[in-house]
Order: sequence, then C-alpha cells, then structure tokens
Amino acid sequence: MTIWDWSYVWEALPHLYLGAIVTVEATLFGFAIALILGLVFALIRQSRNRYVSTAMAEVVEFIRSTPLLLQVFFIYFVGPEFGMYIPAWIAGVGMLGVHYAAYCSECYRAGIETVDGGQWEACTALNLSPQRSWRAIILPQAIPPITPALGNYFVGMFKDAPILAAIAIPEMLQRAKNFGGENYRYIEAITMVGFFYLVFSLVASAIVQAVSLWLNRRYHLQ
Amino acid sequence: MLSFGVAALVKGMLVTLIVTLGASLVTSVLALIVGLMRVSPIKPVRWLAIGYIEFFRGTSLLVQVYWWFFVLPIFGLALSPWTVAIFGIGLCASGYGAEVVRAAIQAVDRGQYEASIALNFSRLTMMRRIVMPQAIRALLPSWGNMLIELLKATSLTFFITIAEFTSAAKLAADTTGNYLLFFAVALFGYYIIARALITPFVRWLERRLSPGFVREAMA
Repeated sequence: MTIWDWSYVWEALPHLYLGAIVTVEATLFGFAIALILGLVFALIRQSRNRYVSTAMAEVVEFIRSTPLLLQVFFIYFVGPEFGMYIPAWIAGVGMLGVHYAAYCSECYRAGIETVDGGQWEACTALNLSPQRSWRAIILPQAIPPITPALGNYFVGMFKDAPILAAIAIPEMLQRAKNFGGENYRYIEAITMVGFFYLVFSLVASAIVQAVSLWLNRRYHLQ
Repeated sequence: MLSFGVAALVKGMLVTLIVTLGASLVTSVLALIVGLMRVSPIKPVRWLAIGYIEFFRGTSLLVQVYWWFFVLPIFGLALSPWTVAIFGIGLCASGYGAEVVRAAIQAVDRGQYEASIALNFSRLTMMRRIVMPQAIRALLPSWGNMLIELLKATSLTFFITIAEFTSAAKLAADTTGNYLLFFAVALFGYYIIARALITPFVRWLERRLSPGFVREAMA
C-alpha cells in the first residue's frame, strides 16, 4: 500500500469541488450578514441610552464567549420545539453571520472610537443631522482603517465553516471525510482539504489587503 | 431522565475544563518557543517559525484535528481522542499565540535593547531579565482572549467522539427531547467559565506580573 496514491486524488476532486462551493458560499453569505449586522450592533452600542448600550455590549460579549457549534445547535434544534422549523442552510449560515457580527462589531467600535472628537464637534457646528454625520463624516473615516481586522474575520469565518457539517450541511471537509470513509483512504482527501484551505486563506488575505489599500486611498486616509 | 442529563452535563463540563487546561499548557509553551524563534536574529530559524505559524493559522482547526485523527493512524500512529484534542487544539492555537508573543516582544521599547547591549548583557540575559518581563504585560490581555478561544475550540472535539460539554448537552437534549433547556444551560455554562473563571484569572495574573505598574481598567 503506497502512502500517497494520486488516483484517489483525482477521484476525490469532484467531491471536494462540490464541497468547496458550499464552503465558499456559506462564507460569503455569512460575511455579508456579519458586516451589516456587526455595524448595526456597533451603532446600537454607541446609543446615548445607557441601558441600551450596556445590554448590547453584554449580548456581544455573550455571543463572543460561547462556541459557534453550540449556537448552531441551539438555533437548529430549539426552533422545531416551538413549531419553527429552520432549514439547516439558513440556520448554519445565519448563525455563522451572527457569531462573526459580534466580533466585527468590536472592530467597528474600535474604528468609531479612533475618529477624532473634533469631527463630531464640527458636525454639530455645521448643523448636520446625526444620520448625516454618521454616514458622511464618521463612518467613512472609521471603516477604512479597520478593513484589515475585518478581513481577518473573513478568513477566520472561512476556517469555521466546517462546523456547519454538524447540522448536515455537506461542506468540503465533511465530503472529504465521507469520501475517506467510503474508500478507507483518508490521507489524500483530508490532506487536500488542508491544502485548499491554505491556498484559500492566502488568496483571501491578499484580496483583503488590496481592498484595504483601495478603501484607504479612496477616502484619502493615510 | 433529568438527573441523567445533569450528570452528563457535569461530566462534560469537567472534560471541557481538562481539555482547555491541557491545550492551554501546550499552546503557552509552544507559542513562547515559536514566538521567540520568530524574532531570532538567525534567518533560517525565523523562516522555520514563519512556516509553522502560517501552516497552523492557514488551515482550519477542524481540518487539522481530522488529519491527526484520521490520517495519522495510516502511518501506524493511532492517537487517542484525548491526545488529539489536547495537542490538536494546542498546536493550532500556538500558531496564533506565537504571533501574539512576537507582537509583545516587538512592542518593548527599543531603548531597552540598546541599554541591554550597552550593559553588555548576553542575548539570553537580555531576553530573560529585561525584555520578557516587560513583554509579558503586553502579552497577557491577548493571552486571556486566546484562552477563551481555546475554551470555545474544545467544542470541536464533538467531531472526534469526546463527550465534552457541547456533546454532553446534545446527548442530554437528544435523550430527554428538551433542547431549549439543555442548550441554554450549556451556552450559559460556557459564558460563566469564560467570564467568571478565565477573565478574573487573567486579571489576577496581570496584577501579579506587573508590580509597580497600574493597568488602566480594560473592557
């Protein structure tokens, strides 16, 4: 028995390809949710009402310090108890998004807090409405500097996607494991998944870097 | 039925704590070694550390765990799930930890290095007596975050048949059919370990290891 058999590599590739599509889709949808919801969390946390902002901070802290796997289980299994059946795909991707939204909101917060206080005063002096101050003045200065940090979460999310296998979403690693189980050959399939992850991570971080450069230049920062 | 569930949860909590503790020891030791290698003046040593860090940070934890668990037996090295859990999670986290160590070491003021050279300290003495005691203060807050990440990562041993807290909650919920209760208890269990055990412990360490320095209150 050879240790590495290329024929299994070719045989496994179509399975892994299907799985890779699921993984990438889950990551992209999840990240879209995380970016938007994270901003919402961060804005709620900036609320003047002390109770609202404290409650939001606690919720974010709670989401951040409990495991994603358990959260996915919670959404997926508790719903049906109340007659609310949530499809695995929506539960999985949605929870992935919410989990990372909590992380992203901390990033946004850091970005918002580093915007110079004088900018707020200038907004008040120019009689801009709060909405307009946020949209036109504060956020364009707060977000570009934190794109690298947000990008890290994009890569991190991609690496957390295998957790979705626990609620029977056939992503890449799950398919590799099934392929290995059918053929009693785990080494090629799982090693290749690892290799794909490495390539994807490196490509994704290169994209993140490019986006961050572009955004910073677009808004004339740095 | 309920008492069975409670017993399973208690046992699961213990397993989670043991795996977290084991993995954090593995991570701390490896991260320190690799982090120091990462700032070594010798190029090949540095490259080795960069390769290690990129490898463990670039692939998914679960892929790594599966690799240890399903692929290594092919080479005749069948590890027990416990070993895989503690070392798999520990190795993966050490990649992140090494970067934290590097950042902390590089954050130490340049003048401290220059002063050590001026005082003719050997590199070992400089690291041990001057640089590390200062770096550790910058290190601890990130290290605390890493411990919480580790705690959460132990839930992934669900996939390699260890009955830790998440698996125990699932088992208890499946048996009794009361998903809301057991999953809610498990979620709060993790939250309590993180907030009432790990965070105060790290704060205490910070106070212990920075005599003469007052850290401003942190979130």
